[in-house]
Amino acid sequence: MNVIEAIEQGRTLADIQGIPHEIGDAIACLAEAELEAGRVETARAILEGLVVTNHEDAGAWALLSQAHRRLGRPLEARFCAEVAATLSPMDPFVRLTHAESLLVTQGDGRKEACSELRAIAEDPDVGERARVLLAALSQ
Amino acid sequence: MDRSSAVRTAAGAAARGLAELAIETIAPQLAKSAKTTKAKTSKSTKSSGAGYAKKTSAASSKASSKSADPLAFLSDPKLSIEDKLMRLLAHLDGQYEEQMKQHMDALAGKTSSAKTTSKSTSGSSATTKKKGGLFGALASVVTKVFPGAGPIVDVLKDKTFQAALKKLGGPVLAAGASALGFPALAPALMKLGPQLASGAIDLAKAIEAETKSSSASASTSSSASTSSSAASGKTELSSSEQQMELMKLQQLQAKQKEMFSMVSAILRMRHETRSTVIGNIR
Repeated sequence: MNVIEAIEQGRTLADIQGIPHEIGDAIACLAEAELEAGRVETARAILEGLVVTNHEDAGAWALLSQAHRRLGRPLEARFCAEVAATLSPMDPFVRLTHAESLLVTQGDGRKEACSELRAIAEDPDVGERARVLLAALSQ
Repeated sequence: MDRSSAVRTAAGAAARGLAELAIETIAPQLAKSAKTTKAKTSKSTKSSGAGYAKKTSAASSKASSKSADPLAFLSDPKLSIEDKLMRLLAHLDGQYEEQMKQHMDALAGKTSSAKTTSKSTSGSSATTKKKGGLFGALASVVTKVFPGAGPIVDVLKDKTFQAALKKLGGPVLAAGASALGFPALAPALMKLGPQLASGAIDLAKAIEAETKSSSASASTSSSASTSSSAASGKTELSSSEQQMELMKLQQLQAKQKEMFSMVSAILRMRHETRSTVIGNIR
C-alpha cells in the first residue's frame, strides 16, 4: 500500500512514518512555547506541519486556532477550532479555544461561547480563563 | 503519479519544515520547554495518541499479512524474474480493473463499494462521518461558521472569506478534510487548495447540498445508519462528485498505463542486455 492509498483510507502521515505520540506532544509543546514567547508565525508554521502530519490531533488544531487568532485571522481560527471541536468535543482546552474563536468571529456565536465557557468554568486547568472571559462578557 | 508525488512532496516539506524549525528553536527553548511542559499538560493539549504510530503495529501487520498474501509468489525461488513480473502485472491489472469498475458503477448511479469500503476503514475518531462532494468537508465547517448565512454564495464572494481560504493553504485544508472524515478528498484539496478561492462557487453548491442533505437526514435520522449504503446507491451523484469519480478513473488509467510501460521497459532492457552479451560473445 502506498502513501496516497493509506491517506485515502484515513491513516495519518504520522502513523505511516512511524512517529509516536511522544514526538507529537514534544512538537506541540515547542509550538506552545513559541506561541507564549510571541513568535506566533513560527508557532503557526510548526503547528501547520503537525496537523498535516497528524490530522487527528485535536490539541494541535486547537493551538493552531490560537495562533491564527493571535495573527488576526478569525476565520482561519474558527475553521481550526471547529475541526478540533469535531475531533474532541469534550476536551476542556479545545472547548475554551472553540469559545474564544466563536467570540472573535462575527455572528451570533456569543451565546454558544458563553455556554461553552460556563461548562468549563469549574475545570481546574482552563477554568480560570473561562471565568475571566465570562466576567468580561457579563460587563 | 502526480497525486502521490504531490503528497510526498508536501509530506517531505512538512517534515523538513518541522525539523528545521525544531533545530532553529530547540536550543534556546530547551530550558523553557521544561517549564512549558507543565503549562502544556495543564492546558490538557496532550494528544490522546490518535493518529500516531503504535509501537506494536508493524509486528501485528506483518503477522496478519503473512496469513493470506496475494503477492507471496514474489518470494518464490522457483519463479524467474520474468514470471514474477508477469504475475505482478496480472495481479495489479486485476486490482486496477476492479477499482475502475467500482468507479464506473458509481458514475452510473449504482452502489459504490469503493466508497463504502473506504468509509468503513477510515479510522477510529469520534467524528460523524458524512458523505460529501469535493468541497463537502469544507462545506460542513462553513455551514457551522456561518449558520445564519442565508445566501451562502454571497458569503463565498466575500473577499475576506476568500482570503481566509487562500491563507489556510492546501495541506491544512487537506488535513482538515481528513480530520472531518473525508480522507479521500485530501489529495484533491492539497492540489486545489490555493485555487479554492476562485472555486468558491463549487463550494457554494456543496454547501447547498450539505444543507439540503442535513435537513433531509434530520427527518430520517433514525433509520439512516442501517440503510445508508442502500439508499446512497440509488441517489444520483452531484456534478462535483461526478468530477471526482472521473478524476479517480483517469488516475487509475494513468496508473495502469504507467505500470504497463514500466514492465515493458524492464523486459526490453533485459532483452537488450542479453542480446548485447550474445553479440559480444560472437
